[in-house]
Amino acid sequence: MHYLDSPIKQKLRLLAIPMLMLVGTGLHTALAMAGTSEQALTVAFLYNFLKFAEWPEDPSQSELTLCVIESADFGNELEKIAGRSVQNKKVRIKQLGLNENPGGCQLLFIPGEEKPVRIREWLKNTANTPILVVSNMNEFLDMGGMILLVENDQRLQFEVNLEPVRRAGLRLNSQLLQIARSVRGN
Amino acid sequence: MTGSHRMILSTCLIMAALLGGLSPAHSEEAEELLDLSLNQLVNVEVSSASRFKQKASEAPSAVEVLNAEDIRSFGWRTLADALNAIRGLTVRNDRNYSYLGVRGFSRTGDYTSRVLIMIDGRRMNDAVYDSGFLGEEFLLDTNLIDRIEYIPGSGSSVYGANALLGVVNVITKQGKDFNGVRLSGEAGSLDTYRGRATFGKEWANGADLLLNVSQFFSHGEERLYFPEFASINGGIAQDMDLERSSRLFGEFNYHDFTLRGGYVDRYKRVPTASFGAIFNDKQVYAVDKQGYLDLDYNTAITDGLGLELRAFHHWYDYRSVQAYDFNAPDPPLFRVLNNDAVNSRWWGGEIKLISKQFDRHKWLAGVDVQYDQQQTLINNDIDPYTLYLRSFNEGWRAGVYMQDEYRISDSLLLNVGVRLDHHHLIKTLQLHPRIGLIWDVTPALTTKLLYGSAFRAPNIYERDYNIPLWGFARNPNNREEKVKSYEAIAEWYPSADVKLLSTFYYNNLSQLLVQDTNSDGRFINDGHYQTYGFELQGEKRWDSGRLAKLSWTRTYTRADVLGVRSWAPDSPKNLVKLHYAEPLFDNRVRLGFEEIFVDERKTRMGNLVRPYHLVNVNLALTKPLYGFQASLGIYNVLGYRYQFVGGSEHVQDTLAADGRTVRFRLEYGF
Repeated sequence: MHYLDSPIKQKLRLLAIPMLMLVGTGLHTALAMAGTSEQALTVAFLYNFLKFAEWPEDPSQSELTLCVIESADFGNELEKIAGRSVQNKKVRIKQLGLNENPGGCQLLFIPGEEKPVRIREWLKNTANTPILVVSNMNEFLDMGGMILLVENDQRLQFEVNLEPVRRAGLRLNSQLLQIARSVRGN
Repeated sequence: MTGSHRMILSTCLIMAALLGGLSPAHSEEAEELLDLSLNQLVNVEVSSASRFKQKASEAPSAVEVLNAEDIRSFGWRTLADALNAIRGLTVRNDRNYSYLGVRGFSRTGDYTSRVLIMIDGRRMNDAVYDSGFLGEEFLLDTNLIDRIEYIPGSGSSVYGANALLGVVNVITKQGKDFNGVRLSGEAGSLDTYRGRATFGKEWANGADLLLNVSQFFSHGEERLYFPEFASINGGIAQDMDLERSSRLFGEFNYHDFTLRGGYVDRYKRVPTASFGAIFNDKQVYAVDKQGYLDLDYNTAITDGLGLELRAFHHWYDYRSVQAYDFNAPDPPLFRVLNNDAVNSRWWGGEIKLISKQFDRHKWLAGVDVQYDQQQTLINNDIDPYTLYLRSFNEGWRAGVYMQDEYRISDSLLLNVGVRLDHHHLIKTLQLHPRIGLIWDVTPALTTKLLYGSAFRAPNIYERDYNIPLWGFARNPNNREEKVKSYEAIAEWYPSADVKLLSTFYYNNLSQLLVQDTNSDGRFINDGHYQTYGFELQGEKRWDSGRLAKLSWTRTYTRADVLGVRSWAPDSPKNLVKLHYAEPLFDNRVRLGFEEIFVDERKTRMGNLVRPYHLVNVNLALTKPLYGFQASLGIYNVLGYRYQFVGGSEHVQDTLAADGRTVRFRLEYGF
């Protein structure tokens, strides 16, 4: 096998060992929170929004339903909060397909890759109903959405539009509004 | 111990040493994240790799995606099995390799060189024949596949050469998808066995490792009957169908770095006596070995601008030994062993910028460089030694590309891409655009209009293979093959989970390289193919996990080769594919039913081959029982030995497929 002895191969092999050792030692010391995936972080935000929102009283409800427009990216990450307890209610995850009724949802997350015409359709279908609608699509608040997740300096932050929140009969905790990067419709 | 085995062993040792130094994490990253307060969350750094994740396709198209669950439901054994399930695609097998036909275009005698096959966005077609490998000679075991994206139409505007008819991108899983060790054993008809070991793990700091080794053996049909060779051993090729393959794959992710490497070594005995071999002689076989390393780095320059850097190295060695009759066609028989071999190495890199800085523009741009360091062709008789061919070559390829996705309005999207290529095997620069106009008529109805062109440079075999004795001559004046493709697509989602698709397409392939059998056997740019047709597909995925999918491709391909105009050989006018998966027993078992109808085809000699229905049924345990998972697949249930069209290297006009076979797989995870 003469190719094993080719100079490039040898160099690669020599390089590979220290590189892997370096990575190996780095694993112990690396900050646990550095380099978190955007998907996992988004789910953590959604989980917190559930904690800081108030829905009109419905004593029959023992669950909080977090709906997401069918998405391979977020689907798996969201399963990690299914079954957790928030405000003494159990979190349930539901994937919504196009044209499906969002009626049972307390929070609806629309991933930014959804087409603008569909985002408008979802906003139309949820208007004036007590559903907290969140997206990471840049123009979301201009379109009438409630919370926008937005990247800033390699961090994820959020902006709130209170007007549709109020019209939907929802209330957001003041702590949440303080952390928000900006709040409209005060 | 051979060099390749030594390499595998040393890789394993390094990996084991690395693992030994790690302490397993007790709490997962996600759990910790969820314990953070909002105040803390806004300070967590986002990894750039996740922010600039590439979408299903760089180019607008009617993309078809198969995922790991589909692979499990239908029990696809190889990439070839999975691609055979996709609308518009056909897979032909001549008991040496598997070949892909696209929308009625299939040229027997070449090696899937007009479709770009990629693993995780990295080009896998080799640098000598441009072959796209699909069967046991493909680098990946099917358990490693997260999804398969098929992007029909020309894709040269982003990917460069070979993306004439389409692009197949196979995305691999990561260690976290396994999270432990899996041992799997397979046994099936025709003495077929496969053993496999997989290790996958993700650590709390984001490091992720996946390792996979496997070994495959199939004795194949003990007796294959070929009436064309009735005068030798009664036309029976005995113990001639054997196939073996060994594979190794590893992937390591750490923050913004990904290192991937794969290796496959496949041996196939060839029972068809192709290329003038002696029939029923065990010294007729092919060995294909290929490997690659791919280091990928993703980072964010600013919030809206991502950078991807890539470096790669590939090698591909092929060797075919075959016994032939030196005196043929005259007696007496004089058996001589011939060796046909290829050695090739290539390496290079890519720089890509991905921007989402602007709300209405998403653009990407890149530079892609590849140095074909070694492209060696060898042909000789072993004993008595006679050298027929020894050809060396090397050279550079380079491409610059950019693409912009411009959202004109909420419902209108314009996608424009263009790529300029230099390729050392052609003299002219190649400039290939792709334009797509996408209109969301309603939230549930999307229409697309697409135009694109693409090229394929002659490969080194078509240019330099020169053995006048056997009717091969080199031709340094070969030019590139070209395609212009047009497509109109409508996608309609009438209700949740239902997707209907219709597409009309027209592909105009010109200057195709064909062997000029009227002169000295050189390859010349004299093929012209036009394919046009439509596809209809309906698909419904129920919440319960049930899946139903039906597709119909109606197509016609006109070939104009060396002055002869006709309906193209091996081009079925109708393809119908039905897939049905049903979860049973509270989703503990999954039943997959697959039926593929392929219409009649014309052979090279102008005969008609009968249409056929291929039916496969698979039963899989989806949830482990005491750590065990099992599946049982029955392939070609009807047992009808349908025929594939033979190529110019075959005496046979048609070649029969395997009859009914069964495969049982047992997997243990811990």
